[in-house]
Amino acid sequence: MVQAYRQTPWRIETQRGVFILLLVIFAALLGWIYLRITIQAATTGLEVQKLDSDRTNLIREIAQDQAVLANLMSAKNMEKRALALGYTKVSGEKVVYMNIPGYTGRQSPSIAPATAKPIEPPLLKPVYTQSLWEWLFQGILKGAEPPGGYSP
Amino acid sequence: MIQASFKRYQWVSGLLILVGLIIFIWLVRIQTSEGAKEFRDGMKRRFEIYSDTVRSNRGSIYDRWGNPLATNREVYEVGVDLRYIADKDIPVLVQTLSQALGWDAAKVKKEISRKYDPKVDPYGYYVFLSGFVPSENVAVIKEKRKQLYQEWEAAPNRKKGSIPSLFAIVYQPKLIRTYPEGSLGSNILGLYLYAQEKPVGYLGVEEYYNDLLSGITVNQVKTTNPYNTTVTDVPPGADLILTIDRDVQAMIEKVLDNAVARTGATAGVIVVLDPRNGEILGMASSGRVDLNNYGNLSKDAIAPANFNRAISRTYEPGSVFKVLTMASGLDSGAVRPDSVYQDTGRNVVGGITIYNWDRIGHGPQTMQGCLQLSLNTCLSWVAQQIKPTRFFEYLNRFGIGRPSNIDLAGEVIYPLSTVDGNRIPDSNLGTNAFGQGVSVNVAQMVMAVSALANDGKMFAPHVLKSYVDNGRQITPQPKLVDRPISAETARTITELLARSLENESSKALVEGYRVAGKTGTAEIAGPGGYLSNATNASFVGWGPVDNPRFLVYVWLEKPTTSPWGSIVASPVFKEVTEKLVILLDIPPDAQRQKLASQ
Repeated sequence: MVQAYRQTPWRIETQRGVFILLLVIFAALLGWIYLRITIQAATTGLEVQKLDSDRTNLIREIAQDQAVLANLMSAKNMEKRALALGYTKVSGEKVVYMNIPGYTGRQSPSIAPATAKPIEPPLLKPVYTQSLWEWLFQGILKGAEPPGGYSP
Repeated sequence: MIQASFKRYQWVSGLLILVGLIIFIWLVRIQTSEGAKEFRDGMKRRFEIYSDTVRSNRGSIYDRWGNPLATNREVYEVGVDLRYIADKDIPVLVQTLSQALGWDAAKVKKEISRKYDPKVDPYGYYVFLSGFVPSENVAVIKEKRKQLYQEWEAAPNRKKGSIPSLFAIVYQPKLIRTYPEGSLGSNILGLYLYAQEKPVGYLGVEEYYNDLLSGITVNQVKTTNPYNTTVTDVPPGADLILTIDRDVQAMIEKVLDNAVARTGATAGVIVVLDPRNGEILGMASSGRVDLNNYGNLSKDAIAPANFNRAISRTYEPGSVFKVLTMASGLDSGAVRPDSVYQDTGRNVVGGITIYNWDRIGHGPQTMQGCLQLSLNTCLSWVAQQIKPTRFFEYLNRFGIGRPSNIDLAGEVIYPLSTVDGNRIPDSNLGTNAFGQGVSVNVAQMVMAVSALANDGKMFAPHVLKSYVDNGRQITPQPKLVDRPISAETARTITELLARSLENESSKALVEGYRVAGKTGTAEIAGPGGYLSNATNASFVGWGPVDNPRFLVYVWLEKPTTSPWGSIVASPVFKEVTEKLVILLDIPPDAQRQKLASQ
């Protein structure tokens, strides 16, 4: 009877082997996920650094371009250009004034930057567009995030 | 059979242990090698934590129409890293750097040939060459570097080593202040001392609005570790839009320089203000400087006392002050336009005898006659009628003796002499009435007189129209300081002054435009009393009389061609006004009234 219910040793060893193999595969999977997240975080971090550096460079380049433009349009240069184009300074007697309906005179400029257009929210909620894989992976990533999220 | 099998297992196990040992020893060797140490140091540097100071980019300054008056431009700090200089690189380094920096070759060679000894100074490998190299000059380095790289790429492998390199040149970009208009409006703008360790605005708008312009400074701990990237978003400093009109400013500077040269004056000031709101449209002062060249400016040129004479110098204004005395007299009811003063050529006030400028008596005179003939005796009499306490109250309300609080750094005032802080001393009453014994700066005067040109309302003179902070443009409301006189008084005195100019055929009259104004010729106090051979010549005027849109103040210091304000300052007012009405689009009175009726 005992013999009838007892498994053969090779079967037990095979089961143990499979169990160990599963553990190894699971550990490898965890390692793979960890590595993947780490790589992504590092890549994103480097990308952010690069973008930050690009932004600094762009701000500087814009300032330089504005300075060049301001120099080209300085009072002295504009007067030189006007004279070169054949314009002459007008005297009081030559000025003609006329009524222009609706014209309220020269207005002071607005130099405030135009406000950014708000981004339109997508029509469909993510829950209707997400694949199973994305949903699963997003869940894993969320679980891996430290409280308060990554910075930034 | 079993024993043979066991032996084979032993051999295999032994071999595996040996391989494992070799791998282990190899790993230990790698970990402790020089290369590993260098790698670790490199990684440490790569991911090191460092402190960094991030400053907002300084805000720009614009004129009232959006023309930039002060902004930022890119320059580079250029240096060399001695660790990367090989002998073959020196000729090309010398050539390129001397071209980029404008230095002679010997100077460059001396700098780049310094010896670097890490034991003496581990960080001595960097040699600073220049802090403010324009980007177009650095383009020379970039171009040459590109050319050498192309040569290196094209060269066969065996010849690559012989191609020189500019790798040792280090250039770091940064922004510095630039003033596109050079010296235009320099006395208003002030300077930004960017070459200092702690850059700061100095005088003018740059100092007064330094906090707004400079934004914020953030000291932060940063790391290059990509897992801990932090981005500090430092907003730029606020941009300022001034009330200054670039064209008006350029015009009055030109007129002033010509006037100073023509009259032999030592210096001068012209201020144009909109009396309706206190906006300064232009403020020219002698001794303007090229702000882009501040490193080479003399201390004297940027001394606060000389930088903007309209606010940093006080002077006894003389007869232009009479408009305030007469306005006070009319407003208080002490005199009326048709009140008659019997002028004998002298009047005793507080024990001091007051004489007219021509030392003669002009007989009975109405208040208009008093202003037209600029009678010191009459105005001292008016002050007597007002009484010392009331006269002090009026001067105080006109802002005399107090700062105008113009939004420019460096305003200097001289307090009004008073008794018990509430009345003019009897001895000063007579002289104060015609602008002697009282010191003012031009900003105080334009503010006080603006009340006469604006129905009695006196706005604080200011140069800031609006500013852009955090993406929002904010326009502060002009500040109404006081209403020292009634609207009726303001209109009455304006009319009296306009008629005075017309009756005397003043050199200040402008064809087609009715203007009101008053000349001033003031004695200058010296160490032993008033100087006998020098005067301050002034003129204050506004127009058009029926709807004043501008107020012009002219001050010429010690003119030599003539001491009289009516001779030297009045024509300057006329010249400014003739050009001003075109720039401000003000049609002649007749046309304006015709256009208004259409």
